[in-house]
Amino acid sequence: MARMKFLCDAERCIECNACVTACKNENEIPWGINRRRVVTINDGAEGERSISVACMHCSDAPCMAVCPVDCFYQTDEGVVLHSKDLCIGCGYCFYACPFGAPQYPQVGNFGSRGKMDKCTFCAGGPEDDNSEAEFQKYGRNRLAEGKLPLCAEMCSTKALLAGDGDVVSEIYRERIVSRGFGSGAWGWGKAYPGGGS
Amino acid sequence: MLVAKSMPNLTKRVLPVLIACLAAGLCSVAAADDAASSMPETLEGHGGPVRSVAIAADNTHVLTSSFDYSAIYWLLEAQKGRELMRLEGHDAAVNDAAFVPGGDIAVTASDDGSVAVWNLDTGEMLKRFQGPGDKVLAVDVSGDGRYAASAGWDRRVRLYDLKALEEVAAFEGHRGNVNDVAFSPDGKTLYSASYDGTIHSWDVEERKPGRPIYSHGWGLNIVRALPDGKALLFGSLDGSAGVVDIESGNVLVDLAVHKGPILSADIAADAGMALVGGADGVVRVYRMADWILLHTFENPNGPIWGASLAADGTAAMLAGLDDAAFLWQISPRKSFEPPLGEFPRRFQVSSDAGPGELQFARKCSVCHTLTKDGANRAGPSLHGVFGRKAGTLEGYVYSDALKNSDIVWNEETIARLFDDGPDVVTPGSKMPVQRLKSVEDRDALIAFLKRATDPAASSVSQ
Repeated sequence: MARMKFLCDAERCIECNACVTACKNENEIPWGINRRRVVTINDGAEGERSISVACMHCSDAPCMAVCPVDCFYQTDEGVVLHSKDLCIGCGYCFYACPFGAPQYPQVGNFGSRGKMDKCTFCAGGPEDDNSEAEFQKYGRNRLAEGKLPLCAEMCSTKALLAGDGDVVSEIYRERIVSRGFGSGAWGWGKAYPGGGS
Repeated sequence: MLVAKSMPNLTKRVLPVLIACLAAGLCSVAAADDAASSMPETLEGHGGPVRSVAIAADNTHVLTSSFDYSAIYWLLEAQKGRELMRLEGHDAAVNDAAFVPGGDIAVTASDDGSVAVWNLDTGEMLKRFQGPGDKVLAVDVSGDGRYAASAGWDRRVRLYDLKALEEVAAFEGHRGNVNDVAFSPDGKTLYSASYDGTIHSWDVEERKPGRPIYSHGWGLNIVRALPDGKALLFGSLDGSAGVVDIESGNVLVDLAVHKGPILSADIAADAGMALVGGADGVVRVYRMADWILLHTFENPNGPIWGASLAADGTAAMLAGLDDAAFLWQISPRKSFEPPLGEFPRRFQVSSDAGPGELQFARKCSVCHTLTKDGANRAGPSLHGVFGRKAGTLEGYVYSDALKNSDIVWNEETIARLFDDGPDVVTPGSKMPVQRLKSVEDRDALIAFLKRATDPAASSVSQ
């Protein structure tokens, strides 16, 4: 079974935000929620780089460790998902996530208690694959359809790669051999220490 | 395709404890005059996970705050913790609580966006500073008790004059959520740590921005001012912790890296010790003179959300995912015996529960009981809820919205609550968003509640 991973090549990202738009459209994400975002560092200055950031589906995911109601689970493909039935919107996972992935809709009586929403690697949630209930709560389950996340599929420069971690890292390795290390694959080492499974 | 995460088994939980016990030369008894001898093993009374813990300077009292919307003021005597006062009045989880030196006053910060000042003699809320609504994650109080400061997810650091009970400044400058604040030992400077990865200073007396002190890259959860006034202790989302020089911004010491974000820290100035706790459940205690690692402890039940060192450094109270704070006796070292049984995440239920009971367990039980005893959970007991006017259960602190509501709970009104959501049916109440889109699930829940909350019937265990 492949271990799914994201990789963002900061040398290639052109800050077009197609990944953000693709994600919102494919999963019908409500206004105010961005499962994926593009962050630019040194904007307008020498060394400017952009990176596309969302849940990295970490090997040893800190969100899973800190959740007081154990609403997270990891699929056998390594994708970190959660149950919105169990989530109590406490916000602990945001406080623990290095990538700022968890998002909370501002619809509660006291804003911070909406159910958490985050990137699912286009793999839905605990409901039946491709059911209406799954789509309503978590968005599209492209993995169950044999497809990869649309954010990476839409990336025009292939800065954002998604798929089997071994394949993704091999593509990146070939780029490094050809061009040099550059600014690196931001977050890869943090999300998958030691190339973890 | 999906595989549920396996629960840690008993061996995995108990083994670190056994190792710690053996490493410490087995358990020994604390001397009679140190803090460890007066501390209770646990502080039990909250109805939700404990988020923060603070031991008073004289080791006689403790403040805890919790997801259950309350803080508790405890008296420690003869290794027992007696609940002196429950501080109720916030409308959401209480994230932090701090003593004000020189008076029976406490300050709390909450998910409801407010900071509250409490009289610990009477339990009265003296003042509530209501911000724009974003979470307030942390509070700190200056050493002279004059000022309090808060870290808010509205990206602001707020300063409060505790004598005048006024908000006197709202500092802007961070580009992300502010996660922590700390006063300098002389109280003249305030330091803040943010998700934007920086530590910033603020001038308390002039009430104006100071300067950026340090940029870490990864988000910062923790900042503490060291007693010499020259350096800061920080903890990051990437698991790193260290000491940074205030003047130069250079990292002076890299502390041991945790296998998860740093979530808590404390300093015992007189004892010359500092404590760092992480999401990996590991707590490390360092000697500040040379930053030698003195003690390591691993909580088998997971993350360390809150930690407080006794002034003499012989003990610490820790808070994690459980509804209680617990003691770690550091010196002389004593093993921590975790309660046997289920991992402290109790809202997963077996699939053999009926559909209505399943809905209750998953969506309601974190805040409500079905028995007369409300168990100090965030919401009122549902015992006898059918036929009850909203906002009338004695002993529960309701919002004004529910106190002034004309709703009487029955099948129809409860169905409406879950059809449209509490934000529509009971706007301004403390209940978080909870909707049931499936009519079958809703009807099953109502049928279960009708049966399980009937005072005439035997209660259902939860």
